[in-house]
Amino acid sequence: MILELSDVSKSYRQTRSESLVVLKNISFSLDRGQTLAIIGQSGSGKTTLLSLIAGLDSPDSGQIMLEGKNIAAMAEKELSRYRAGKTSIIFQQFHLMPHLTAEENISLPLEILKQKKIRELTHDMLEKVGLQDRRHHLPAQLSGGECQRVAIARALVVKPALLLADEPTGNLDIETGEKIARLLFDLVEKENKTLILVTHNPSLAGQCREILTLEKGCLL
Amino acid sequence: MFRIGALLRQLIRNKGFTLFFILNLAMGLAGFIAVLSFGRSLDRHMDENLKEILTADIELSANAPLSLEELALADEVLGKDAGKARLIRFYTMAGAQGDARLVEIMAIDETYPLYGRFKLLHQTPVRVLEDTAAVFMTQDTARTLGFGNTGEGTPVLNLGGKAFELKDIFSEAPETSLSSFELAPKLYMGIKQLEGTGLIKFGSRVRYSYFFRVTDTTDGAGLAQKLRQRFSERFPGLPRLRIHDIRDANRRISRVTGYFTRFMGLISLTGLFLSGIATAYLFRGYLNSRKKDMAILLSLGARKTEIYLAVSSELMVMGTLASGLAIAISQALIPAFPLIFKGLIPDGLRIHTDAFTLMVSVFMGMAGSVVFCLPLFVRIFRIKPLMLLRDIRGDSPFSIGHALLRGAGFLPATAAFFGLSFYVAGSVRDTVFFAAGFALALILLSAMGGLVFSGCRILSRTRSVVGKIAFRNLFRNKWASLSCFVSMAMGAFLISVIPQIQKGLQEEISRPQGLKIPAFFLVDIQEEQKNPFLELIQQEKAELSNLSPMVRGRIISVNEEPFSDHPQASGPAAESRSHGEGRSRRLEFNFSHREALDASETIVQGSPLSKTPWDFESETPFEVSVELSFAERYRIGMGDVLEFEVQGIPLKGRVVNFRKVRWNSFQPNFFLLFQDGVLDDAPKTFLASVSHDSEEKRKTLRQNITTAFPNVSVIDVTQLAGKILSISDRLSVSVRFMAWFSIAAGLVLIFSIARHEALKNQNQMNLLKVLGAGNAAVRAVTLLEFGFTGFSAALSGILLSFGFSFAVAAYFFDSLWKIDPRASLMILGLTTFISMGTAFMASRRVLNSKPVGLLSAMA
Repeated sequence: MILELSDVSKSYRQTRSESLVVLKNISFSLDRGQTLAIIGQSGSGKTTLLSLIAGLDSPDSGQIMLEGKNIAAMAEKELSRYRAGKTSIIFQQFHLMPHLTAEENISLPLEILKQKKIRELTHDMLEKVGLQDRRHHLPAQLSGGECQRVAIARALVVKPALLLADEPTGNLDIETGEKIARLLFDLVEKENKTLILVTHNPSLAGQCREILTLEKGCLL
Repeated sequence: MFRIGALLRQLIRNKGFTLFFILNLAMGLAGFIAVLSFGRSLDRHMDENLKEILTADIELSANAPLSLEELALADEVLGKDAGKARLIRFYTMAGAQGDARLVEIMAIDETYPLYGRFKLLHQTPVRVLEDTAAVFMTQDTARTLGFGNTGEGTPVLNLGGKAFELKDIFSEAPETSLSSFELAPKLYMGIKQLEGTGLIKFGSRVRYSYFFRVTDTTDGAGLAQKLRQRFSERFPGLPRLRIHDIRDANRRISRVTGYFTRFMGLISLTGLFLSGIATAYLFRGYLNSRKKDMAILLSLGARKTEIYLAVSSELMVMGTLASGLAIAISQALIPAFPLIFKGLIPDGLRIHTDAFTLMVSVFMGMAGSVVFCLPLFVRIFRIKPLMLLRDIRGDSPFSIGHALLRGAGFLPATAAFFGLSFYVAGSVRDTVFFAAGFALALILLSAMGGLVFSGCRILSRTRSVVGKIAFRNLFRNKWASLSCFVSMAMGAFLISVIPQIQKGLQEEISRPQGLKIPAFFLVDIQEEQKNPFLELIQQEKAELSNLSPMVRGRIISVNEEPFSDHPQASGPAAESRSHGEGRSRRLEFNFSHREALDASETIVQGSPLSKTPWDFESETPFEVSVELSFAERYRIGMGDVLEFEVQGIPLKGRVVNFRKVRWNSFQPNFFLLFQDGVLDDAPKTFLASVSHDSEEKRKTLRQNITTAFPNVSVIDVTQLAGKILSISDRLSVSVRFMAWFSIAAGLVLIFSIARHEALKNQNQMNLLKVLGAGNAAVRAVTLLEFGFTGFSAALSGILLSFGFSFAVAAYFFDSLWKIDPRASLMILGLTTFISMGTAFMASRRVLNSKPVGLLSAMA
């Protein structure tokens, strides 16, 4: 088992006296190499759940164990290491560094991790996502699909234990979205990665081995 | 659609930006109002002082009474309502008992002085002088003339054929200028009482002065200029009249007040420019943040002109609020100035803001913000609704049309800056100088920034992850980095120009270190009295600062061209030096010789005068040392041959060096120094200054000198020197204060830019965190980026300011320029620190928050 969530709850304060419960006692586990889709309507708590697993936010209660370590109890320094080495996120809006080329965007997490053979690893990823000829282009010069390929490559280049994707095709047209989804699942399979994908696209969710449905902060 | 309500709602929704924009602009405008008000008030205050020294706004003087025609012309120009007073002054011998001494008679009418007053021991009305045969004099003069203490009997003084009663003793007289005529103590009497004295005969050297007081709002200097012109038109030929305004009252003071006025202009222009940069910079950020809103409006069918109107209205509302706030701040601050800067600003200085300055500020707030931001409006043209469909970060590609439009957008701002510069500087030439200087600085700093950020490409090849990310960010974000760099560098440049000039001015204005204010000027020491005089001084343990021979003579020609036709220098500095001279060029000067230069003198060009005495039989011209401002004024060059006439003997000398004299040393200095041997045989007298500590010792010394050397005039200059040096000290403090004020304003600008850029960088910091960079690494990247930008911008600005301030000093301030390394280092350090500190504060907000924002708010 790579990931285990036990009774994870999260709420956000709305006013001084009121708070909105976004997640309520969420528990599930995931084995290595598995792919999981979390689906639900807007406002059901999908993105919040993803951000807790990614270590971008902390739960109010409960445990999130990744490879036996509770990330909910980690200090900021440890969380940074966790984010850099154990997880990677693919965003709906890509979130590439606008002033860096495709190649530089992909190599950025490797630089942060101070890894060796950055050039080789980056080129390998560029090849895998089919962007060798676009490697010197800036995000503004790339299409939406190409930007998302760069984002996928950036996420996979550090070989994370857990890959998280937040509506990875939500910003793309159907055809490009399908291509990107195919690429993502191919790479996950080839690299034997564990994937958690948040979407409200049933066809994309259907490509995962497991599907969890969230409704009003609770798992159905 | 763009109604007031919607507009205000928009501003309230963006309250962070609105508030910061208003505060920033208000600070700049408040500085502008405060600096201008302070400078103008001080200028007025100095004018008041100078009026008291001249005793009037304008003085007309001649060696004979003015004709009725001349007086009528003066009335015509100055107005019949102008206050008038008369003074007749001349030298004569006077004495109560025994020896007679040289005194200067000051015969005044009942309206004298028009400004200032006598400080009299017994408060006798000045009118007494007109009504009775009476005189006023100082206690020292009374003692010198042998009266002993007043009140012992009725002291009577014989002047010509008439006996005058010593009515009162004055400790301060209104007329305190130190002119070449003032070679003896003054006695005041009434003009009417001159009758019967027989003192004024045919051939007597008498000066007739007519004083005028015009209304407070009238420009005295302008009227004096008009008078000169009218007199030269009505009475062509060599003018016999001298027309003086307050700037001529004391050249030394008027020169420094002239510097001060220009310095004040420079400061307010600097503040104005800084404020403009800050406004434009803030607006740029605002426009970027509103791009999406505008694209939405365009997609909904709004026209670009409507968007312009909406944005301009927002700017105008914010600008108006800012100018209101600025006026409130400045008006709250100004009355506190005397309390805050107690002891630093002159006593009795009333600082108030004139209506025009307030109007300019309101206009600048309302329209200025639109005008300064106009070049950025072009960006609106480039916004397309397409950006809503795609994540277009950049604007549409470069086009000549847009470039031209953008260029045209700068025109109103340039015109407004030009107009305000003209308002502050007062001349087209000075305005062009300023505007061209600023434009050139902008171009050079942009080029320097381009080089710096291109260099970042090399620096990014470092092994350090932090360095790699930071430098890569800088050169990849070249345009954003460059605009930040240029704005910061411009700020550092402007605030750095001030200390370089201030340092030079400070040195000129302030009294030399260790200078003892002279107690007496001793005039008319004969050659044979020189050695006994020196012995007496030694015996009295007094300090003889200078003993200089003085020979009076004329300059006949320069390089065989008659001196009266020789061209004079032009330019603001030269104009201020020759101010008031008009067409009546001085031909007679005092010449001297020195064994060694005085501490107040330095040779700035050429070689020292030869120690070998000049051979009178030689056909080679002797060596001459010329005071620098004198050489500049009369366009005398190095190696020029000057022909002199001393006691009817023609002499030729060649200029071998230029000397800079610190006139504030208050020592006997000369425009022209001759080589050893030239003046040996000429009939000469000696001039000296003596300082002594206590008043008691001064009295004894004076008594002993007058007893031993009855012919020597001992002029007590303690009070006058103290007064003039005190004015210099006040100006010096004010110059320093205003320089620091402008530095503070510049640093606020740098803070604004750094804050804006740091906030803009928050997304990048967040992303780095999501990608796993630790807080320390994110902070280090931010600090390195901002530290490098701040440091390189400040360094470039400071380096450029050296050249610019040198040019400004040469053009406006008689080359009073000196590098102020302490101020430069401080500006460099503070700019870097503010840049890093602001970025640090902004990064702290990101580092302390969870990066989850990237998934929600940012998305």
